[in-house]
Amino acid sequence: MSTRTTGSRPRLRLAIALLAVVLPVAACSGEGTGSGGKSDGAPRDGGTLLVGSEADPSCLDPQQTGQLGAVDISRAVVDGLTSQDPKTGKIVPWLAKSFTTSADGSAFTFVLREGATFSDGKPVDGAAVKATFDNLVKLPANGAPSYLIGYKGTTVTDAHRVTVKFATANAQFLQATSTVGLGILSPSTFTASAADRCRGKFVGSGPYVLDHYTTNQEVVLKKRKDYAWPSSIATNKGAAHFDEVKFSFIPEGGARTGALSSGQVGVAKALLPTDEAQFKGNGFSILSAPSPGLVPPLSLNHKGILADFKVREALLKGIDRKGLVDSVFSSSYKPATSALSSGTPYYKDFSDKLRYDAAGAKSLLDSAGWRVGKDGIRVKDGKPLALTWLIPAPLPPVDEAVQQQLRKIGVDVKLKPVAPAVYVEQQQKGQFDLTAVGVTRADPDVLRNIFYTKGDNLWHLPPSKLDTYLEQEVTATSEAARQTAVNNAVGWILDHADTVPLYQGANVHGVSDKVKGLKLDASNRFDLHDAWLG
Amino acid sequence: MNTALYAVTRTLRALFVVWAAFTLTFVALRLLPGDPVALMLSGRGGFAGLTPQQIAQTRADLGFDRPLIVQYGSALADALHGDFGSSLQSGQPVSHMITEAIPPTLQVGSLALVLALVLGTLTGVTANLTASPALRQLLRSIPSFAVSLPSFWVGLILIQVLSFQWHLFPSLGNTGVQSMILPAFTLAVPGAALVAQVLGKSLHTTLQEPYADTVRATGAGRARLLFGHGLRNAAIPAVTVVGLLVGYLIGGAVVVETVFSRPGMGRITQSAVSSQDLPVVQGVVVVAALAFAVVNLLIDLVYPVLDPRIRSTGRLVTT
Repeated sequence: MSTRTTGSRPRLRLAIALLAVVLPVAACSGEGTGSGGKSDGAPRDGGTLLVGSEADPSCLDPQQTGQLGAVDISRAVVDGLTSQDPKTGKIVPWLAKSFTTSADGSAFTFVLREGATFSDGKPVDGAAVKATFDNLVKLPANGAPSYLIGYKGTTVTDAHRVTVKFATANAQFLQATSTVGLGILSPSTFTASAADRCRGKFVGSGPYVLDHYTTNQEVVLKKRKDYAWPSSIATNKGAAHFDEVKFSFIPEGGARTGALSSGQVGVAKALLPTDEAQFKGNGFSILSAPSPGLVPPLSLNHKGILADFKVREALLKGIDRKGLVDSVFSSSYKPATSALSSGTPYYKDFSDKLRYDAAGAKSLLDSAGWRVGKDGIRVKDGKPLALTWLIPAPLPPVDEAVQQQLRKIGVDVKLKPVAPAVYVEQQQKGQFDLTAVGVTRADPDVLRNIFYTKGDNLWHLPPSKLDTYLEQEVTATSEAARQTAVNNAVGWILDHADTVPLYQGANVHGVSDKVKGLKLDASNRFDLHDAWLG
Repeated sequence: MNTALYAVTRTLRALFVVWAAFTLTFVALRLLPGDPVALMLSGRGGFAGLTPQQIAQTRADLGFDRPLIVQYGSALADALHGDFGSSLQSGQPVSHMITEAIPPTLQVGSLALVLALVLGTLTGVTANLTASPALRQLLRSIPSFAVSLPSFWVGLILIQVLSFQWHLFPSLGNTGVQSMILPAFTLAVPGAALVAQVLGKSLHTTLQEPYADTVRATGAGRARLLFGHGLRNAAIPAVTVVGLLVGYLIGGAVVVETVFSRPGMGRITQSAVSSQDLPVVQGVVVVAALAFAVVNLLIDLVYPVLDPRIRSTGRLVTT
């Protein structure tokens, strides 16, 4: 799983990390994934790919962390049972050459391909699949283990056939098997301590093995020469082209940009929106894809002032989403058109409900009894219309732009950046009117993580028909039924102004033209197997 | 007071500094608002799936449920054995993280110290050596200018020009002396300014002293006066500055290691503070305090060698 909103925004990434159980499953709409390096000419073997990463993820074990910085690396080391086609969102074979779902949607049978081995020499077999899942459920259910909620066990029929059973229908599991969090690990992994696994002591069957991991400096991957079992959609059927991939941790945005433009790295991750333009042409290109999942919104606490539907609705109408994107972001980012990003499976365009209508917003506030006061801020019963926006420090620039927009309709948004630890605490205690929680996860089930009143319900939503729609969404056994449930849920959320979607986040990387064929997979992670150096 | 007693009291004072740093950090970190355990669990992707019992269990496993004084006692006892617990974020032993981070910081730090001393001495001496009043004035104003430059900015300018434009040095990593030059220089700028200022002033004073006239009367030139007599007399304040510099370099590591993407104490400090990783912060503070105390202790012990008056009285005589 990867938890973050926009690629360039660590503080928002943290914000979501705070409550999301996240399963990035697919980016499947037409605008799907980007493709950066030009893929002209025949692939060439050899060389080292240098990648400038924004931060040391501090833990690389895919079972323990879903941070994008970590899974970008671990994906190259750990293969999955399945893969996901970034263009269609379809789940396709990888280590499992075929898979079937039981009629009631609660049991999944995988037939493993033959000949695949882990880098410790052990075969990728049924016992390894069982060991992987059995050990995953022992971890706290706050990361990849949440894919397995309701797990009843794995039955190994023979070396190459396993069945994974759940207590109830589990509509998201098959897609989850394509994520690195559910990647198959060699049983030898589970003898290592959790801390050692964080430091890279996990063994996968991927096209690369971890050579070394130096804190705050680099992670170096070396290719496996005998690799021959890529996913069914891979172009390269054999070993990876790069001899070596080196991720250097470059926290300062300008230094990352400079390292790319001066040729000290071939790929710079998480470009700042202001730096993007210089990498369009001149020997570089932009590799970007919209982040699937819940778009970064204003998350509204339905206690206090925002219990009033009219005020919430006024906020929904009072945001000029296009203006926001134009003023703060680059063309890689888009205005929100639904509570879900357009890259999410089952996404539907709801932009009709998200039109900017300042006049409508003002008349809603008028009718709710909030009258314009002396300084332009609305007042009711002697109290100003002031909303506290809880933010994990530091303050992202977009927050100030939102503040300015809402001031135009007479709402005084008070920005309250606090230390991350304080943020978690105050968010849990409901000490806020507004906060921003987006979740990157290419599955509509993200709605249930956030809006289900039987979950954490940080927003104090009243129980409603929305709960029913969300239950229908996760237990649906047909695509049509799931689509209907998702549409009903998003429609309800926007009709009741339960959240104020702002913009669609994106992962934006700069790539030198010397790097050929580099793509992002369905969950926006680097695909280091097909790329090469020209 | 004899020399042995002098050494003992200075050592005790150094130990007190380290203990005080440990205790103050412990108290300050525990007083901070926010729950490190909640943050730790959330950092791995939210704790929506965790029950309050599980969170309480984690807190108990880490010992955060015990009375503060008990936590303090056991932390102090462990720290005396060099054990600062494990990072809440990565689970690694703090002592291991620190031993891994010290060498790169030490390399750049010592190079920066040497650069600061050399550049600072050169500027300070030249400012007093030259006969041209205009040049003297210029050299005297450089230090106050240089000390006001933010390290972050100096680093970015250096990297932009010498690495990105001219490709003379790498901008990142920890590979050989090449990669140490820019960070060390960035770190050395304010230090050199400090040395130049203190040394320059003290040399200037020396030149006004009555004994300087005596020396001059023997026919000695400006240079002989400075190198033969002035420098030795100006050494004590300069040595004191070295103690300050070490503290400066420890703090500067945070900025320099971030700008130049280097591993080290600065980087682990920065990430530990931002994620409220209490054991790591505690360990870093103690190590920094220890380094600072040891250097200043050494300086204290060097004084008597430089100045016979301290040897006899055990006290620093300010001139």
